[in-house]
Amino acid sequence: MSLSGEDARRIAHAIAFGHAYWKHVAEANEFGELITQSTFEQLILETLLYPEKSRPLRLKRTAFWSANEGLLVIHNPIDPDLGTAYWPAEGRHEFESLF
Amino acid sequence: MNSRAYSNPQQATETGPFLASTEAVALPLAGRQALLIHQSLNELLHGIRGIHVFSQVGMSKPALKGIFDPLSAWIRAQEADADGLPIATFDHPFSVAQIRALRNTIELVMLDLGQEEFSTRTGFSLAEAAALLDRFNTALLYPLRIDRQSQAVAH
Repeated sequence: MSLSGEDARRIAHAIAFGHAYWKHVAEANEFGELITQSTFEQLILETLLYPEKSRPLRLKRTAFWSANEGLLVIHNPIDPDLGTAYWPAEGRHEFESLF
Repeated sequence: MNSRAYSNPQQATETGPFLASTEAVALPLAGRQALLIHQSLNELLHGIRGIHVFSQVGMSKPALKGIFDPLSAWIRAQEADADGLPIATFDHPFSVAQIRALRNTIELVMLDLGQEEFSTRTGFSLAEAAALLDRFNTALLYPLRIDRQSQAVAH
């Protein structure tokens, strides 16, 4: 799965400035330190553009996995935030078992 | 609805109202429900951080993996419909302890992912998950023979 740069930037911005920042960065501190929404957006953008792996899921969702960052991004076109981004406890297994 | 909740119906009167935790219960699952359970287990085992699995779910992580791995293999082997859902029914008996753990798993994942993420991460709605919770609860409460249709609540 590959996204155009424009689509990737639009999706990364929506996710970074949606619920995912507060839930996974600010509250759960999954990254390990507090980062800004702009930094989060950049991590999401890099994952969308240069994932180690990506694959389509049910309901027109798409998962993008960055092993370097341990970051999983799920694009969901019908979600108001266009998806989510988080650092799963066991990222590769989480990614591979998504449907 | 279950056609037979006990492997041996006599056992209900012998052991009192509680099902023995190791007893096998027939609980055939539509492919859609089987996949929802799989996705919930995936979140519990691999996604959500900070869960104390045994104390919060009532079953150890390896024991849950013992449910997850065969279910995963079954799902991958099935023919899927246009929505990516397994067409076949998962007709594998669960123990009472497993049903209780699966019920707890789904509830925990619903609450952790919440309205904002449940659908994006699992591919199912919270309403579908709630319906599955109801089905598990009905199976677990089968010994009480509750007639939900005709028994009114007295206040």
